[in-house]
Amino acid sequence: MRQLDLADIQGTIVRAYPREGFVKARYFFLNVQDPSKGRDFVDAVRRRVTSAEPWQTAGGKPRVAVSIGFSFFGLAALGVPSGTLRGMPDEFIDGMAARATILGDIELSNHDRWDELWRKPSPPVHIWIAVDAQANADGTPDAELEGTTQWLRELVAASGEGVRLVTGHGPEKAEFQAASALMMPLGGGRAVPTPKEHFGFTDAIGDPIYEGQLDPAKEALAAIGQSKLMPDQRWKPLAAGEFVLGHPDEAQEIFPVAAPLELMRNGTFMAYRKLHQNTASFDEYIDKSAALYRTVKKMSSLDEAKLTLRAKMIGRWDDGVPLMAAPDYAAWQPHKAEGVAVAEMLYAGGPRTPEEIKRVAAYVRMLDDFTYADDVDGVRCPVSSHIRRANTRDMLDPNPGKHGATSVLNNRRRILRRGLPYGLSNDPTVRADTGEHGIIFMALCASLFRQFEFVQQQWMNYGLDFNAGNDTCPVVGYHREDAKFVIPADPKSDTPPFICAAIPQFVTTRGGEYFFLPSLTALRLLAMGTVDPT
Amino acid sequence: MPNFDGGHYFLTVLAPIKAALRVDPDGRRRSPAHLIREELAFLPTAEQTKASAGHGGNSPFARVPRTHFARFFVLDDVIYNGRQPSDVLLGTLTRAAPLTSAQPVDRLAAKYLVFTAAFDAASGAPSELDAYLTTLWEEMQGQLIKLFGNCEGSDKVTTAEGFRAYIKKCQIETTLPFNDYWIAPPPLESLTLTSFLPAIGVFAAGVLIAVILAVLGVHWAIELAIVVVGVVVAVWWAYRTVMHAGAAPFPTAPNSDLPSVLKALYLQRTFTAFAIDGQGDDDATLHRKFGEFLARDKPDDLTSATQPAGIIPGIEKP
Repeated sequence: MRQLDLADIQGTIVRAYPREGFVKARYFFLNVQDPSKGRDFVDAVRRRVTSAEPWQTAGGKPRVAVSIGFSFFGLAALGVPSGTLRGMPDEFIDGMAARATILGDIELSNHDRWDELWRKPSPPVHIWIAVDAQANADGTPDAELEGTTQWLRELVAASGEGVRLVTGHGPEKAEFQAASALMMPLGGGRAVPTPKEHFGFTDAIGDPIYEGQLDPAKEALAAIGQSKLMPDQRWKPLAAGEFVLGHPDEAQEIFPVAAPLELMRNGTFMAYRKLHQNTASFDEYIDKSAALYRTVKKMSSLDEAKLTLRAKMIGRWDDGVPLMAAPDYAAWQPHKAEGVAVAEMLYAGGPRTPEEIKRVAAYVRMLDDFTYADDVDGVRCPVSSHIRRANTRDMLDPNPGKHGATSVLNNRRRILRRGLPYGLSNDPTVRADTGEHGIIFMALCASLFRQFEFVQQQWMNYGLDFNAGNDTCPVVGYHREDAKFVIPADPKSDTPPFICAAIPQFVTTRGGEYFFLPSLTALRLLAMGTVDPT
Repeated sequence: MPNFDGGHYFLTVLAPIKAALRVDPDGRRRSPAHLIREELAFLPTAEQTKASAGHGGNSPFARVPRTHFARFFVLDDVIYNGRQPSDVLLGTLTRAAPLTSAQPVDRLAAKYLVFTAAFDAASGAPSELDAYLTTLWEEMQGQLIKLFGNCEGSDKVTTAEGFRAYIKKCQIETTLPFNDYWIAPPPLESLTLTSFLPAIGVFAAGVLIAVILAVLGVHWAIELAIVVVGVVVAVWWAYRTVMHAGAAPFPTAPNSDLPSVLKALYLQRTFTAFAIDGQGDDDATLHRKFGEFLARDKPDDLTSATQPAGIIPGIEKP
């Protein structure tokens, strides 16, 4: 099979940096005033952009990884010819703010509530630069994060106003957007990253696998539960063209974008979103609803009701164990104990014996190796829960529940998920709707319209595909005053379904934009000013 | 008749738009197609989305209570955008249809105002169309005159009767009707062998007669002719049987008339509210609340406690 030219593709398209230990990040946004100086700036930055080449051959894992992307008006500001610009997709030209009604960025997520840098009189954002850094043993970022920041500052200064940093992140109006995994102190001054987000769920489990992304030896195992389900019920990596432009996609075509193909090939599009989390509202709502849920479901403890309610909303228990593997609190306990044992093994330096390696692998596989064929009505995992909406797996097959059902109606709606939480507090006693805490969410895909926007509009903020009317995602969706979430009951049980009603807004948008992440080749074309659409 | 299917009448009307410009009393001259489009642009739409809610004017079709869907649009032209393909080599050799010679382009003789509507009907009888058109005229006469007044032959449309006659004159058969109210597979009967017994009988009779004639010593050509006629008639009969079965209207889904659909939408909302409100209640309270729900929302009554046509309640302008 033909391999991807990984050394020509930006690393973030192929690997999620936090999973590789890069758990500290800074996101910079720049405005280009002068095309020529802008190209000089790109020329300097491109030499430090981290490619997707495997660490082994690239000379080891770097201390920081650098990524770069351009908004539509950023490409225009660099002098990209109109023959190229006019071929760009509509949503990319519009930019994220203009797509507010499609994305549900209304009311509390309204553009006028976004961070200062996204609003006038701030200059328009043209360039996005991410610096992902590893963490020291004490949980602080590698010093190279600040080193790279300083280098960028100097490049900006050297451009003599040709390129400006667009500042104004959060109430502090920060120079850049900082993000970090939520760290867990281990004692002895050590701190380790956790895969948690601010609501307390384990995040970053599901992420699609595509052809050429991984070492073929690892590919088959990694694809299980993450990619496309074939009629024989085996999982296969998705076509690379779903995530990397210039390659055949799931429709067996090269997705048509702007000319020349040299500019687009091995690049992709990205939605950058700063999503604030109303942690106080979330906890209060769970507390209030759990009391009623416990009564209706005749549960023995309030804690069981709370944790079950949380799991039903997401589709996974707090530790990431899917409801499809453990549909109720009792069934979850052995998985939970196993998760703790596996985590301890990992924090103690990783599995060593073949038994330990097998045990960790079995646990990781359990997290994603499932379909919805046996749960068409959502008795185990509600059809309206977050993970069933985000990745519908076999659920939308015309014959759901039949063995042989495939993920064909899901395969062209996948996104690569990148990003990290922002805001330092992971102290469960500090819960607030105000302040700075949430997630920097980045979705990478070949077509923002077909993939990211579709999932956001039709699956997160609507319910028709799931026979759930206009119910939205109970956690990240836009919630009207009468927003509700239905937890179906087993018809054989003696308890009724439960409806979570009047769900407040838990997640709001604080900023964002659409970017094009070019290949290393395309970065050179941009830097040289030789993009030629003819 | 595909104009009637699944319990709905599907009306399709193509009214030719006048070619002559309209001259206003002040001498201003305007294109009839332009005027129709302008009128359509100002026709209020149903209050079913955030964009259309709260504009103060519901769609006039909401006042015509049997209407499920209605649509107006201007059809400017229908042309085949291309050339009939031909073999270039063959064309060159035979000097027929060279690539440089123009082919005729099919075009419509006029622009058309297209009006389509799907409404409740029991049998598809002409009287049902008449009744619908009469209500339409009574409820939105002003708009209809402004729209169809720009179409050929509509000058005499000043009464309900004239409107009915005009619409029927411009009506074309709806060849692809569609509605989707069945929630379970509809009871459709497949053709069985029994359905083809008459056709088989004709064929068998032909063969039988031929055999008898052969026994009687009649010339073989006569027998062959009889068998051939028998086969032709049998095939025609079988074809007719299939087409006749296909032409039967799709059965009407239960509760698929507009009042039932509106009531269902209303009950879906109110029953959900009742279910939410009753969560965790003891049996006696739940029983009382259900009684209140029945008294207030009257599930069997299609005429009161229902959703108004053309409006989705609870949608406010952003």
